Amino acid sequence: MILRSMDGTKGDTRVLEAQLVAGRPRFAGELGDLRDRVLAGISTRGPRKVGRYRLGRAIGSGAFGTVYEADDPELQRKVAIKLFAPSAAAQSERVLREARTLATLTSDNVVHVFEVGTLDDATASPYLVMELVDGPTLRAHLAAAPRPWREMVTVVIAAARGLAAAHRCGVVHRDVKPDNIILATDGRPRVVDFGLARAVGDDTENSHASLSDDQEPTLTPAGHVLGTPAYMAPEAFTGPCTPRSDQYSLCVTLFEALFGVRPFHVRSTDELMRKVGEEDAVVPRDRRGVPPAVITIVMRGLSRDPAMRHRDLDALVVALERAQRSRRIVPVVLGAAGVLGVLAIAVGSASPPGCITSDAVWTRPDDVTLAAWQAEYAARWHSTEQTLCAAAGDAAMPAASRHCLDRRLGEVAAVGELVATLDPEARAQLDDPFATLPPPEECGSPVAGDTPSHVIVDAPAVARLEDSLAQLRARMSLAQPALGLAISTGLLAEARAVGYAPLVVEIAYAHARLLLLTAQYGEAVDAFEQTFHAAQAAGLDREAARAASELLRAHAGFTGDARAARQWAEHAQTSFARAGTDPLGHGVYAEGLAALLLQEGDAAAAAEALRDAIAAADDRGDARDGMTGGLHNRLSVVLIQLDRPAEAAIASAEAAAIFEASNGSDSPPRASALSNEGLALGQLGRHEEALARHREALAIREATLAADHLDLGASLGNMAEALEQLGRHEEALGYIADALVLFEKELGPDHPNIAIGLDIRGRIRAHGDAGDRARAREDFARAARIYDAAGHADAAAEQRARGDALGKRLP
Amino acid sequence: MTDEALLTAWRDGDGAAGHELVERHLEAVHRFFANKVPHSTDDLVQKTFLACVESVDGFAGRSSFRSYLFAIARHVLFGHWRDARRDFDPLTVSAGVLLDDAHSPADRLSQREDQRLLLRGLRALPLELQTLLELAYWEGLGDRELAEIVEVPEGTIKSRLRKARGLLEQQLATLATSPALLESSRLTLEAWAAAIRARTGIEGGGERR
Repeated sequence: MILRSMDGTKGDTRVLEAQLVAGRPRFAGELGDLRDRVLAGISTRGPRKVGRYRLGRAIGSGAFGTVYEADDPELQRKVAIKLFAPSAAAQSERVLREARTLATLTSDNVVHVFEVGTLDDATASPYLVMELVDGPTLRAHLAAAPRPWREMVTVVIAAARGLAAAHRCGVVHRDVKPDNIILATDGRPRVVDFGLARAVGDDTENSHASLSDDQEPTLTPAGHVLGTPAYMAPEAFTGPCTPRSDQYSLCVTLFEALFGVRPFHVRSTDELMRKVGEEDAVVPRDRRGVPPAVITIVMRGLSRDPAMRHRDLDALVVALERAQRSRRIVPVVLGAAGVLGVLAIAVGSASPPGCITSDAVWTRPDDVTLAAWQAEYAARWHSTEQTLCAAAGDAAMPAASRHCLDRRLGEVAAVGELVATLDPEARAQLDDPFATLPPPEECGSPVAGDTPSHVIVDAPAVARLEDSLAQLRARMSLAQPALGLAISTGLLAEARAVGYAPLVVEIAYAHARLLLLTAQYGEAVDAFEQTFHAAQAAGLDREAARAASELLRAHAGFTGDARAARQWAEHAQTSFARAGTDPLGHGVYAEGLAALLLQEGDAAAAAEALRDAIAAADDRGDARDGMTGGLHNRLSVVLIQLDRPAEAAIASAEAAAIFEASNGSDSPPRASALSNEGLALGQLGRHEEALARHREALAIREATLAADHLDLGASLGNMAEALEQLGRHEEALGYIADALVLFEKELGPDHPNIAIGLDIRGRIRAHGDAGDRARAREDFARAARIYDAAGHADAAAEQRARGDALGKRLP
Repeated sequence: MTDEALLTAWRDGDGAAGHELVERHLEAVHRFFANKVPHSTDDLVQKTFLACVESVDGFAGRSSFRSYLFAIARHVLFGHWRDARRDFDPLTVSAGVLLDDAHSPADRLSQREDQRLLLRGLRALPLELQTLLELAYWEGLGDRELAEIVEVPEGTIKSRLRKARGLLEQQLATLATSPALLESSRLTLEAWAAAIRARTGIEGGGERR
């Protein structure tokens, strides 16, 4: 029977689709004999051998063959063997030649080739014996979850180093893509599968590509290569592959790793070839928080004209490293451009005599970790000093700046002395104390400016106060707020008596911070208000702005007084406008503003403010701090509310990673971040992964929280939701039952949490028989009543609609 | 354990892993052949699982084990028909012509008239289109997996599925012995349409407040 073709269908396709699904034959009970016969027919086979190696399991495969794990009985180690399919044998000569070159190459980021050989059977297929690298491909890593941009840049830098090493040996990779970068568990990403990507049968070697202008045409044959089109440079479609086409492919890889999409949205290879050749890649609207500097570098690598790309991969590495580091504090005294120029001079020429302090001023702690932290601080201090010296030219740097630098040295010494008094256990608990000291970079515009309004009447008294303040700050840096508070109260009174305004402001600010750290919020608010007024009176805008920011955060967060918060936000803005940028104060401000905007109902603006706060934390070097983790986590909640799950998944993954390092992998904050990631992945329809996150969050909460903790209920509900989405109704019912019992016990029967639970249970039951569906309708009706009582009319209406929809299906 | 892990373990000689894998997919593989061959599916099912463990090139970058498994099953099926008929072409010849007694193993199992009607309708399609529809709607495979199985671009899958549905609609109309039967088989299926919408979440979005 030959059938006429018919284009399109009339009527409702869904009816036909439903009919198709309903007509699916089921054989569960009829398969007994078939099963027995199939199983009997299947035998197990012994291991195969290649050369002296015993092949183990297959660990990957591509168009040209399969990679196996194998045992090397001679050297008693595991290796990886790539066995070429017979169809790829035509290319064996080039493969062998390049592999031999690679075998001489030692790069940390290229998979090491041990041996090259050919099978001694009829096929004579070539095989490669390589280092066995354990770890997922970048592709798998990306598929598992969206990844933070810093991590992706780090991976690509490593891959670029490996590729650059190969380029220096005259080997072009030809098929750079996420599948060919392995994130080895030893922490060194490796590039694999060199030079293997070529169209089958395309082994004409009558033209040769030169690696760069000044090099001989070498090993690398040309030929029109078809690697993986999505990653290919425009010129590679029609000509030979070069180091610069590898660069292009690597930048497509980075683009995909950063944004989750490839530069060109196409449906066919033809369309891709046309677009790649004729259009410039476009940055996606959702930039996922990737800084412009990084984007610029990627886009340059994606230039259509190879000449417009980075000179080579070394240049790309340098640029990416610089962009990764760039969001650090620069001294406030100069514009960024000025600093760079000046630094170059300072490094390149002799420093003014007597200006640069020697390393000798630093007392090196015995403790290795502490010494490393101090060295980091010392580097910043020296660099600031150098900048300020150079800016002063032949003159000495301003006295206030020099005094400021000296005071910073005093604080470091105070920390050192205090640490020496700690017992080993307390010392082991320490986090970098120098990170919380006032940044030396701020000595470019020190508080104690030598303006006429700040006259020092009693110099010895001021010096004493400054010493005491250094002790106080040392206490704060070692997280001993109670001990600090014991000092600060008396010190503030003393400072007021001496009457030197800048120091009064500094001490008042420290005192207020200590009140905050000891959870005395009411007192802290008063103290910050006093600090603000004192700072304003003294014309110290930066300090005024910081105090106002603290007040904004306190009112938006602790007191919930939105009106006061809004007022302080405005004060802070005014002061910041006068003081200029201030990474330290700005983080607090942005965090407070986010809380305020959330209260005011502007979630989108709150998300921006949180991103700001995170950027500020990044700038002051607190990117991996637990507090910053909290910001990422809050951001993810806001993004989930805003229905922006892709970004939310990144934010929560970042939060989870930070919490893992700062609070531990089994800590409640990490459970919270995992929950949020699960919710975001659920919104994205990635329910299997969502389930995995919720399962882990639940395990942590079960291990760390009381059995009646509400967070436990939330995790149980999340499990139910994810399972329901996956169609695993039986399991889902179990979890939602537990969640409802917990919530009802803790919150009573009329809490909106109960309604959420009922909604989930209703949707699960809706899949069941008539009785279940009737019960589902009861669930929806009860949820609607709860929402009504709580004033959520929309949610109530949604529940009723669900019940009604179900009613129509009841017999 | 994932299917992939089971397959690897099986290839490494772990018989229990092989049993588990067969257990997981036996019904689906049987169903694949059940409406396309006249008699027992035993040989074809067994060949499929054997080829699955013995194939050298393994997964070859496929997106799922099932797309690998059904790609093999399809080769086994086409090979079987090619042996039987020299003029076999999956794009024009339908299982209906290949079956001698106009019944398939699946027919013998299905009790309801409307279900048998559907099975016959499917068999009347060119084998390739029948295969696509069954894999899409019975096994829930997506366009990408189907594209890997049939080795054509995803866009082609979409148009073939469209064409296949059109042909099936036509066939059902032709095959139904009476218009009333066709109508009744459709009415009972309305409930299914609703259930499917619910399952794909169009109706019951899963967000939490």
